[in-house]
Amino acid sequence: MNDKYEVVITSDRTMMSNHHGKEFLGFVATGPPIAVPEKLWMWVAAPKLKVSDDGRPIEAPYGLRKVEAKLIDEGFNAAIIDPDYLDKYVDSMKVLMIGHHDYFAYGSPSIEWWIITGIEPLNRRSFLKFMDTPALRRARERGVKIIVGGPAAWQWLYELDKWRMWGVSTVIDGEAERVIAEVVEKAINGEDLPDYIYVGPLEAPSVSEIPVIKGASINGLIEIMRGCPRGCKFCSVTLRPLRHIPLDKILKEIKVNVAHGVKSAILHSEDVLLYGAKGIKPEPEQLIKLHKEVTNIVPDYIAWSHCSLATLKYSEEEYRLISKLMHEIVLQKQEYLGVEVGIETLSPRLAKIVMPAKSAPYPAEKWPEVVEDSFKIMHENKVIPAATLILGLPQETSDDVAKTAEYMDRLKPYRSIIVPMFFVPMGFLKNTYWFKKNMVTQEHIEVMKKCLFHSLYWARDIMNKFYLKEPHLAPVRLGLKIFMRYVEYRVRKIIPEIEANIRK
Amino acid sequence: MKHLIKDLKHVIVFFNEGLREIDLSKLITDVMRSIWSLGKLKGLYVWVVSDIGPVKYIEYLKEFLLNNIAYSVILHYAGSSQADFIKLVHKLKDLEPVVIVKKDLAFSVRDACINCEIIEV
Repeated sequence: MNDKYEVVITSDRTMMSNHHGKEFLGFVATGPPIAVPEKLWMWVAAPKLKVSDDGRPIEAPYGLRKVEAKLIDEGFNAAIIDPDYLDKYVDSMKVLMIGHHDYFAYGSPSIEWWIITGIEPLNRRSFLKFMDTPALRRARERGVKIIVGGPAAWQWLYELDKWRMWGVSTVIDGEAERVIAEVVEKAINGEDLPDYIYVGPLEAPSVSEIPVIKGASINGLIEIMRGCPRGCKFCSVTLRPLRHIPLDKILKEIKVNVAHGVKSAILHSEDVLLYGAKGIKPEPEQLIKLHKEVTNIVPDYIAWSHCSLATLKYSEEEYRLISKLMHEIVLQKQEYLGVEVGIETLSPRLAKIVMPAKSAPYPAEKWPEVVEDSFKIMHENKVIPAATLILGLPQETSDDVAKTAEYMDRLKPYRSIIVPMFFVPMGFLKNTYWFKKNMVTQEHIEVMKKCLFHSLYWARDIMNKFYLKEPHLAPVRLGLKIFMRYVEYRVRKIIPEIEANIRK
Repeated sequence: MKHLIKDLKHVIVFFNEGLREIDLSKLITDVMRSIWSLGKLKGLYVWVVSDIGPVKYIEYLKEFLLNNIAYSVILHYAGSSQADFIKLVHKLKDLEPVVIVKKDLAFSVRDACINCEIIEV
């Protein structure tokens, strides 16, 4: 394979970064650069990656790695290239593929910070700049076919002018394994391409069609499952069939990462604790085996991308599984384990409407208790959750939001970050409305205030005890502490103004 | 002719400005439902001939796209003129496409549609 790649895969810097080895810092790129210069903000959120001499990043986003692997397996001369090195390949490439989690900052939480501050988030700024770089302009002039995709592909439907202006040939929305090779082949042969491809759930690849990555993924993220059985209406992942990646394939990918010097592993699934399960009840043996084998080969730490609170509570109450996993395996090598979890609402009424199975095997009416119990279990076992709440869900009433605000007080004792997000129409609800600034009510502000002060309190604790302790990250740590203090000061100052505006 | 996704029903849409976006989206959704009820098919391959131009025409289909979750959909711009339409109909004739055409354009294309179901909008 020579370095004159025909197919180049890339993204902008907010995606092509390992965020100092701290996945959570990547979320800083969803915010607007306020109080500090954009360049500094960018350095905190998305520092440049280490690259090989020919511009291939040592680590790259997992989704791009999957596309690269599929194309290489199908015989294409394809590689992921760092955005700073694209120019080197403009003359050889015939196809440029771009992936992103949030191209235009229409996803959560970017859109929320944008609405609140009125300032464009960093990820959007970065992507717009990237699409206008000399390398991209030259690629367009040369007639390179530009194919875009990834979890935020849907956002292009709201940016038709940019789609046309930037000469994007095809947008692929959905799991691409079954279509990607043929699209690329057509592009290389100069054939006419479709504008838009939505890959429905029936075309989702089987486990055997999902390739093993060839190069390291950012912070060692690897998927252990795809899809989700819970059917929450606001989520797009749940539309996909549930698949469990076999353990040998998981270990192969971790070995690829370790071989490239990535010492951590983030186990990616919508619900890590359902790995190997047939329904919504966990399989303790499978989970213990997974964690033992993974921690055996990962030199540094592991994390979970997501887990559901109901599974977590059930796992502990039925099998003492969280205690076992944490104390007998995970905490042998690390001090804590990070995970993202979804609270979404603390109103049982609303939970029953928009996410009736999220609390299963417990009834939806018990959702707030499930949340509280699981937070307690996590706190006791040094699992640190970054939780989300959704404001503005369809059929939400002010009483639902008030209930959420009220119940949040019961989560105060538990170490966690809670991020409120404005509803974005996705999944079964993708044909509904967008939550806008004029829909923000006093109750929403109350929830946001509680989330902010809860998160600031616990963020300090987390940083003091667990996070960013490495000496080389001292400047990042200091910067974040100053920023948190600034946010607290600003928010206390502007809340009365916002509340007065709403009362008008 | 190779297709990206197997078992898609081919639909040709021929329209120009003046069509209500909601009407087109509703019609295509109906086509989708009717083919789905027959079983076997996984979605639609929608070919668009319109003087509205590439990509911009998607605005007219957005409602349809946002209402669809389960089925695969491919959108493909195939030109702007009557000649483009006729060329496309010939290319797809063995696939028995459904043709959706704006009423005031229907008279100009009816003769070309062999093996097609024509729906006027």
